[in-house]
Amino acid sequence: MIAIIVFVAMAVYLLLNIPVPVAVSLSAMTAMTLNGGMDLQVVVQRMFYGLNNYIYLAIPLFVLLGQIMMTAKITERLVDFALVLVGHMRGGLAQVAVVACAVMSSISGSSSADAAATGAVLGPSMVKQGYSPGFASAVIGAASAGAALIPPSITMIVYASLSNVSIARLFVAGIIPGILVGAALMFAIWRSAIKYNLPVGTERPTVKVVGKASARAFLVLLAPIIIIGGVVGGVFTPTESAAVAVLYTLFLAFVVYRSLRLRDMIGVLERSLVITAQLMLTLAAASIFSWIIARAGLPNQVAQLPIFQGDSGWIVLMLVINIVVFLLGIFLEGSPLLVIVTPIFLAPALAAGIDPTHLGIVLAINLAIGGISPPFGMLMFVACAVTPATMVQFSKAIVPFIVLICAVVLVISYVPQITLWLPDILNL
Amino acid sequence: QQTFDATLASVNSPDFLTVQAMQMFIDLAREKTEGGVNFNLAANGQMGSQKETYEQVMGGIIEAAHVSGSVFGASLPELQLLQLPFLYRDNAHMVRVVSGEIGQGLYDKLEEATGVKVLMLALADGPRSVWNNARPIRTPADMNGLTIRVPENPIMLDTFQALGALPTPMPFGEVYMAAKQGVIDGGESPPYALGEFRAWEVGKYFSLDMHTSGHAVLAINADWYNSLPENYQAALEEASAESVAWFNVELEKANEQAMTDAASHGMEINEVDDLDAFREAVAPVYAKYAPIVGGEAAIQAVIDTP
Amino acid sequence: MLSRFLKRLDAVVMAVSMVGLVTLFVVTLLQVFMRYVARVPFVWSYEFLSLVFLFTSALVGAIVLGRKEHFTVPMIADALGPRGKLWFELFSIGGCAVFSLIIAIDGFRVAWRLRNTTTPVLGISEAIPNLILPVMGVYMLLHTINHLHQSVYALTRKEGQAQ
Ligand code: NA
Ligand code: NA
Repeated sequence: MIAIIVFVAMAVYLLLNIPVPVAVSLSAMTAMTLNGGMDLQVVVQRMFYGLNNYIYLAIPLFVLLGQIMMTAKITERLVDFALVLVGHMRGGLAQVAVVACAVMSSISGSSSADAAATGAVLGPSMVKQGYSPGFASAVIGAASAGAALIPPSITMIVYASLSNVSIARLFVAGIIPGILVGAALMFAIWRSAIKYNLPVGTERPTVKVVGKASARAFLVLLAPIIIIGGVVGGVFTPTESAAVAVLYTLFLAFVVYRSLRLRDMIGVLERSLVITAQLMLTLAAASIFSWIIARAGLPNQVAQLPIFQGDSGWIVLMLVINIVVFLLGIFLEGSPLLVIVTPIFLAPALAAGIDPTHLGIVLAINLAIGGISPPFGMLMFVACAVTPATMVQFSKAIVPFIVLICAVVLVISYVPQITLWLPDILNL
Repeated sequence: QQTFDATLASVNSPDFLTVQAMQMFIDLAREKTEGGVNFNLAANGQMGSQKETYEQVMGGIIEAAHVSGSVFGASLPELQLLQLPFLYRDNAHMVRVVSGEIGQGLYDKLEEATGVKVLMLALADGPRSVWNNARPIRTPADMNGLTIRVPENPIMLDTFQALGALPTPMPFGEVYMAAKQGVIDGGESPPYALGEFRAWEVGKYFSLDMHTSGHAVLAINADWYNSLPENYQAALEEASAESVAWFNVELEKANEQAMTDAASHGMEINEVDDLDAFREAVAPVYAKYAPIVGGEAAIQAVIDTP
Repeated sequence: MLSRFLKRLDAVVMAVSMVGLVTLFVVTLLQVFMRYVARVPFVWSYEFLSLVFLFTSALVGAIVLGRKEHFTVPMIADALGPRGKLWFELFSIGGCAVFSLIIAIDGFRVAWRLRNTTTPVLGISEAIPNLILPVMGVYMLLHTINHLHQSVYALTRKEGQAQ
């Protein structure tokens, strides 16, 4: 009964355009009041603990890192580097978008920052070279969605706090699935390049050009080594690795490239604070939501459903999770969606023998798909903003990419080794 | 037949031995009341931390929570008597004290003060001892300067300060990485918990200083409990006694097994030279808490308990 | 009046929060430095940083509510005309008002209840970190009242123009 009230109230409040953190908290408050007038102090208590979790300390620093990279135009060096690697292929610029997003994502923790930064550079060039605006925007959206699994990732930090899986293990688990999605996108772009006779991006670069672009990008490419190497090697905590990477990027931006002025930092700090606060308030609301869901006994009821029992229980459960999260992803996205579905599915997944790390990766890629699926989606808005594409053009062009990523998601869902092999051999 | 549905919260995962005892209690309670009392286990910290779930039980927002006896100190300072360091000879001694006259008397006072009743007195959580990767602890001087992770519990902080260590509170989930990164030199835990975070990968030594035998209980909202028919209450008491008896036998086995496992993974296990030297070192802790917990006489009564 | 006051308050709080974010960055770096170079770990940094982060995210969270920049699902609102949208906005304002009020009142009750307990490391009263939620509630409530004022003004002004 409590569970029904929560979900109905939440749907109503969200449709009334009440901000997500407020709507989610209010739905829990409504259920508590209707269910015998529980003391609402528990709401405050949960909200406090939701905000006061030190795992989240990494979030503001990773957000800051992405904002510095965007503002200091460090992305352009990565795009140049990707250009000499894959720019000479047919549909070269589209291939560059996939590679550049992946490289950008190996430093930044936010896929919308990746999409904005690479899209701002590549979007206009693609259209100038004769790509249709819809295709160009869809490529940027799909590329940044695909790169969402590549560490570091704020989504993974949020999931770590919800599931008690270590951040290091989740980060490493995302690498192979992330590369797999990227490779599938590149394959699809190569196929359409032949079919639609897409333009060749650049001439095949000379060794000298390759050398020069690599040298220009070299210092930037050290950043992922600091972050991932530092966390996996046990040198830094994830929070510390973010701080060291921020220091390093500031050094590049102010001293080496001189592409950032001190007064730019005000805007960088303000945007980082706003993005972080949006996220944190949603997370605080989530801890209220997961409390009321657990109070209603919903996770145990889901876990005990007959269809999830037996040896094939996990197969059915995985399918249900994929379908539910995909459908919810059309309306909600990113962290708000993650904090609603994790408390419901974590206990049933554990009971069915699904590794929580595996579940995290499957959820993360579904969230990324939600980000590019019309009519709402952060990545869709970003991709349309950096190209002349309308949402209708984007929506038509994105469908094949979504179908493709869904196919890859099924493979990742049913072959857990793709996700678990790397963190397991690294003993994380 | 009247039926009662209730939530039972725990911060640990369902495969944790204490939570298995909770599950056994839940199953027995359902069986003995013929489906009259149904606890829904919300494990893995779904309802919040121990402190939060205890407050929720107090406020009647949930019915029951599995918590450590150390959370009650904030509500009834006298109860900290049961948490003093180097007080018990072993787990069995602790169980006799806590489930005996002394513990029962204190927990009755707690029920009066807060409306929280405890069942499952007492699930042993010891003997807690120190693991670290600097050196084996044989004398109190060996503790000097070591950064040791402790649970967020004032007596534990005071104890390790008195021993000359740098006690650092930190959530249990972060202990493994923190030790690997050298943020801490070690931590403290009962033997059976060593396997929980593969202690041997991040700590070289496990020293049986047995600084305390903690205990966990099932905290229940007294109003809710008293609203149950008397035969249901009796059934819960029986379920509680049976699952505790099962647990304390299993725990000793798990402690033995864990030490064998740790040793086979290369962890060096040692006993300390002289427990009295440790007791002397924590004299300031006793001096600080004696007036709070009912004086020297109350402490002596625990020590004299056979 | 309120709107001018909030504008100034937001600017001050944002500036303080920027200092908070920089502190978070600097202390985290110091923590690494102390561990590897000076070989003295920080015992207090976790609790201190959590506190700084708690304060900045709660306060900026209120500013973000004031700017209407929190995540929303604008499906119905987008389908309405400009005037319908103004009326529809009242639901969102009402929801935010109820939420802010509950957080302010119950947050204060929680902080009051915890006033005599202390945090484990820094040893300060638990009421201090816990007061941030009622403060955030009041701050959000002020913004909500301001939104209500603006909406009512816009609605009445349009009615006036129509006549
Ligand atoms: Na990333
Ligand atoms: Na969407």
